Amino acid sequence: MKFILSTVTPVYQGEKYLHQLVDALERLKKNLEKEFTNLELAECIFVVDDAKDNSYKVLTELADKYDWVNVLELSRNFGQHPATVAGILHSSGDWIFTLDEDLQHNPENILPLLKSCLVNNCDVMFALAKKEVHSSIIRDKFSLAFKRLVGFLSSNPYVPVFSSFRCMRGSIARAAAASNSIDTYFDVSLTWFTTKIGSMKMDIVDFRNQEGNSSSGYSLWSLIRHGKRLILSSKLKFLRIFFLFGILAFLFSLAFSCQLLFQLFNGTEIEIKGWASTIISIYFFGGVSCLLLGVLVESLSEILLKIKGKPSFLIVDRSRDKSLLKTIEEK
Amino acid sequence: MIVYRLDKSVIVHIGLGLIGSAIYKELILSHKAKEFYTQTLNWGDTESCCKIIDQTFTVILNQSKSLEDIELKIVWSAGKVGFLSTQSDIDHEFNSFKSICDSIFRSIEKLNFRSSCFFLLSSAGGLFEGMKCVNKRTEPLPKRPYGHLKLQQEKYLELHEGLFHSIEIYRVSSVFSLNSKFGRRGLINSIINNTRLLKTTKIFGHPSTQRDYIWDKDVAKLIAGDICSKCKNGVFKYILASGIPITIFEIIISLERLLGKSISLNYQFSKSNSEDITFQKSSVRKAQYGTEIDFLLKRAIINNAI
Repeated sequence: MKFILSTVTPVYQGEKYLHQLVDALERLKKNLEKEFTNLELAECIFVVDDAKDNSYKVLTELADKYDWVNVLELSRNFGQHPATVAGILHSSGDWIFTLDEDLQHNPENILPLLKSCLVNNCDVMFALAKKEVHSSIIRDKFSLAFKRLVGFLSSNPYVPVFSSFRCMRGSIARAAAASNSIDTYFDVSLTWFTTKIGSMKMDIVDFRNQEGNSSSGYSLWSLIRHGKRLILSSKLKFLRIFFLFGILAFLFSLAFSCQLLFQLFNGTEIEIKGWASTIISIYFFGGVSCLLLGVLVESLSEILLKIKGKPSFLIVDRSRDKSLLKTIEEK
Repeated sequence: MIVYRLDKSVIVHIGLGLIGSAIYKELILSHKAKEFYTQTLNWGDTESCCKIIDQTFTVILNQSKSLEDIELKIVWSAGKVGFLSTQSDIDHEFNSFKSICDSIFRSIEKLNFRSSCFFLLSSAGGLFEGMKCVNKRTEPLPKRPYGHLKLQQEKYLELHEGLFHSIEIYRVSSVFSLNSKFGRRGLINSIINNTRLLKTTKIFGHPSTQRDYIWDKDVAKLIAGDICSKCKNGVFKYILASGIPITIFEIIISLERLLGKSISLNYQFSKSNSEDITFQKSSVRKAQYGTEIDFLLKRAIINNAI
C-alpha cells in the first residue's frame, strides 16, 4: 500500500524563493520515485495569504507546469496559522510537512524528519534550529523565553518546541485543523489530539538574513497577536491558584473564628475591639470570593477551549507505521 | 427512460435515479429540452428492455424529418448495484447493460444520424477505492465487484468507439444530495436527521477516512451542459470531484458547530468501507459551481428540518 506525503507552505512574500523551493521539492519527489515504490510526495500545497509580492503569479505558473503543485488563495490576510490550517484541510497525505516559503526549511530534511518521527513513535515532530535563525538575537531569545513561560503557565511541556517546520501524521493534523476556530494556535490544537510529540535539531538558515534583507513578515504588533493567540489557546492552569488561595483564606477564617470563640469562652479579653471580627470577615468573604472566582475561571477556561475547538476524543490508526519505517530503513 | 428533443439533438436518457433525475431537471429547466417519449424499463427482463429500445428508435425515426440533421445523444445514468453488491448482482447488471447497449449499437449502425455521442456515468469511488491523490495518469485498480463492473462498462463502450463521434465517461466521486427520496439518505442527511431526533447515527467507517464529496446538482449541471453542446471527437474520461478531500471527523465538527449540539455516533470499523479515496485538484473536472461544503451542510440542515 502506498504512503502519501504532502507539504503545506503558507506564502506571504516568497516570490524570490518559490522557484528554488519547488525545484527542491521536485528533486525530493523524483528521488522518492527512484528509491521507493510505495512512498510518494504526491502534492505540495501553497496557501497564498494575501501576498505582498508576485507570489501568486509565480505559483500559478508553477501549478500549470507541475500537476502536483496546488495553489490556494485566501480572500485576505489571515495569518500564518490559519493559512497552514487551510492547506492541511486540503491535503490527503498520510504524513504532512509544513515548510516556510523562504527555504529556511530544506525539503531534503523531510525524510530524516519522518524517520525520526517513526523511530520515536511520534505523531508530530518539530524541527528546531541548531543555531539562531533570525537576524535579531533578541527576537529569537524572546520568542523562546515567551514559549517557555507559556509552557510553564499552561503545564504544556510541548510549547517550547513549537516550530513552523513540522512533520505530522495526516489524520491528527487534519483533525486538529478541523477543530481550529478563529484565533486558535494550531500547534496547541495538535496537543489536544496527541502527546506523542517530539523535536529534532536541524540546520535551519534564514536566507533573507543572509542576503541582507532581514525584513520578516512579522511586525511587532503581529508578533504580539501571535503571542495572544498562544495564550488564549492554552489552558492557563496557574489560574487555579485563585481556587487554592480561596480555600486557604476560607479555612484560615474558620480556624481564626474557632480560636477567638475558644478565647471568649475562656474569658480571655480581646485587646483590640473590632479587629478580630474585621479580619475574620475579610478572610471569610475574600476566601469565598476567590473560591467562586476560581470556579468561574475554570469554567470559562473550559468553555473557551470548547469554542476554540477542543474535542472530546479522536481515534487514530498507527498500524502502518512499522511498515513505513521498514521501507525507509531499507534504503 | 426518457427521450428529449433539443434543437437538432435527440437525447435518449436511460436511468433516472439520484444523478439521472438531477440531469433530467437540468435538461428540462435550464436547457429547455422537450421530452417526447417515455418508457419504463424493467431491469428484471432484459429482453423487453431491448424491445423498448428498438421501439424507441422507430419512434425517433418516425418523428424526425431527416436523421442526417440529427445529433443522437445516449445518456447512461442507470445502475442498481452498489459497493456491497455481490458478484451475481454485478453479473446481472452487466448483462443488462451489454444487451441494451447492443440494441442501441445495432440501431445506430442501421440508421444514419449526423453524429452520435455516448455519455456514461461511471464511479470514481469504485475504480479508485483506497487510492489517494488520484490524477489523470492513475490507472484504475478496483477492489470489489462494483468497481470491476464500472471498468467493464467503460471498456465495453470503448470497444464500440467507432460508432460514436465521442464517448464521454464521467467518473463521479461520492455524491451528496439534499434530496433523500431515492432510498439511501446518505451520511450527512442521516446525521442531521438523527441528531434532530436525538438518535445515534451508525457510521460504517473510520473518523479519519477521507472522501471527496460533490453535490448532485453540480454534477448534473456539468453533464447537462456537455450533453447540450456539440459532439466532440474522441473518448474522454473525466474525474468529477471537488479536489478537496474531507474526513468524516471534519464533517462532524462542522455539523456540530452549525447545529449547536453534540452528535451521537456509533463507528463500525469495517475495513471494507474505511478506505480513503481522494483526487489531485489539478486532475478533476470541477463542477460549474464547486459548491463549498459548509454551504451544503447548511442547506442540508434546512432541508432536513422541513
